Amino acid sequence: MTGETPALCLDRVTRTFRRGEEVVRALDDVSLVLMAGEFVAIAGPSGSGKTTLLNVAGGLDRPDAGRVLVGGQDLGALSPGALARLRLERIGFVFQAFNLVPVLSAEENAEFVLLMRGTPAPERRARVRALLARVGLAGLEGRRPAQLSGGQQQRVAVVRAIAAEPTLVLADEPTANLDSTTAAALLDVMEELHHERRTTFLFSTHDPRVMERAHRLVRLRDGQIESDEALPARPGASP
Amino acid sequence: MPIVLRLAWRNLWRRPGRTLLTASGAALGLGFLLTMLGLGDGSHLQMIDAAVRTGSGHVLLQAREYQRRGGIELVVPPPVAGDVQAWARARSEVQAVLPRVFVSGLLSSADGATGVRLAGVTPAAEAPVSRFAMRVSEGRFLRPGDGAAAVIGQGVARVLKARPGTRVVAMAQGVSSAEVRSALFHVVGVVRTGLEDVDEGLALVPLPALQGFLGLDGSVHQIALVLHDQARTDTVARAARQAWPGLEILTWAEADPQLEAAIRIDDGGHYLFNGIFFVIIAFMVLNTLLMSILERRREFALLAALGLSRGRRLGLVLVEGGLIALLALGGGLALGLGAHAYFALHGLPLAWFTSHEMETGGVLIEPVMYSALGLGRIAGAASLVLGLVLLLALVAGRHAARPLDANLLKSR
Repeated sequence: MTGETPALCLDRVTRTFRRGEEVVRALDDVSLVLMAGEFVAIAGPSGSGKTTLLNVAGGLDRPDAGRVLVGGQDLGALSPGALARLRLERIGFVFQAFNLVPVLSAEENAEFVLLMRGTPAPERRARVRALLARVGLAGLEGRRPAQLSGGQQQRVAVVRAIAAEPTLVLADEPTANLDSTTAAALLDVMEELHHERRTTFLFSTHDPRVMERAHRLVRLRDGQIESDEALPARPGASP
Repeated sequence: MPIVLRLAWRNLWRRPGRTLLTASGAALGLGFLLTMLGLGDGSHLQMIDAAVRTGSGHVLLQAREYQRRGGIELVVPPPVAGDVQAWARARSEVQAVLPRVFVSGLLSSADGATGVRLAGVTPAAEAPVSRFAMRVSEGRFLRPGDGAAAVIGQGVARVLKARPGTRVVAMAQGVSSAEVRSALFHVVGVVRTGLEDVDEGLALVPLPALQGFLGLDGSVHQIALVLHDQARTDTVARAARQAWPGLEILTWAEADPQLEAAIRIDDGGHYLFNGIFFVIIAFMVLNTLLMSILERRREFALLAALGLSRGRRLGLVLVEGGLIALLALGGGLALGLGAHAYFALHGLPLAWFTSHEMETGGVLIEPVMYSALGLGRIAGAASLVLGLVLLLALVAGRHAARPLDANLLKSR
């Protein structure tokens, strides 16, 4: 740590949920720091708190205790409007359930964040079409989500998350519905973005293909960090 | 097309049936409102027109205090009466200038006698605009050049057993002495207005004949103005007040407060009825808008997660509401103006609802109601529907603008 502002900092974050009479501690005093340009995977069994951690990190959910800072900004201190703006400008999300807008085409879904940011149409289209082609969706730009397979929808969701070149990408099991070739292509794109732009990636995953690409692996269990280890560079991976 | 507009438009057509149902509800409301307003305003215009052509005129010029006291001596004297008539004829809004003299008296025949209100009128001026001229049931109306001729109400004719050709004697007090004067008139026509009070007291005679009979020597009690357009009443009355400050100037509403009250009460009833109808329509529209938003809670959560602010999410719902309102305006205007055009042309026969003649505010309601709609009414009704749908969209849209619930993003 050289005094550089972390891309993401979770400081003693606790998030509880009530399930009937029982209080479930989805995150229990979790602290985690990601520096700009890190490519980090979170692994853990179902219910270990991976999705909750991503939601809290992206300001989709508020912790009961502790602080979350994105690029040095304390999310707890932001108004709902400022938080929405921060998500729009700095964070890309890939959700487990794709979450595409059903009335928009693949291309319109992919360019949605760019559009909301006011990126000019020619630049927006060029960027999105290139990315869609890279993930194997060339020619499917005009299709609505209902006309795409689960894997294709997930690729559109990934393109939406990275097209606007956010500083932080939070991806909840991004390869869960993809075959190995498509998953590899998607991970290549994300790795390239990571190298080109120093984009910080935080994935939750069960997928060994994702874990082996990660530079750091954080394991969660029962809402707590069980281990946090740097992984050796993969042979043949881009620098 | 901006993304919010594109999203809103496509969202509407995800369930075309529901969108059309929502828009149809609001369109039906607007169409019904315009139809009711048209028929209401049309019937009021007919009532005012009937009142104006049965006696008052749109604007009355008379001696001060004549409205309250009605004394025979309260006259507009010859030089002024002539000037007033010349002034009125020069105004483009004025269709007819009707100088009149009135006196209460007794009309008798060989078979009976009854109290009447003798009115001295100018046949050439009255005939084209007077309801009495249009409702002659026997004989004819007064003509220019008639001397001692009289047109009487049907009730008067019944009491006097009079018909065209019958001689009747009028008795009344003259203006300059306490003596009772009498004069002989020939009945030339019988009028049936359908209003009992009028038919049982009506006796019209030529103006010079009554002036001579009463000794009024060119004076008149009243100069009534019938206008081409009832909406110009206040303008003409204002101009008359400026031009003739020494006279009492009344609009039809001031001269006939009973009629004005009847119109206001009728309007109140319409507003109440339309209001209840609109509340029902509003609940229907709100229900479908809410359903459409609650079904899309996950999408709104997604939009929020992607950075769409609460204001923009609410804006999206408002744009959807606005588009529904535009569809409703199109349909509602087509329905309402279609109904208006039909009823303006063919009218709504009251015989569909009742076989009796109806009277309100001292005026007989015409047997066929014709629709009348001004641009202001149309714009007002359209704005009301637009505002109502947007307000309902705002109420429903609060659900879209709620804080983000990340749980909604989990399920597929």
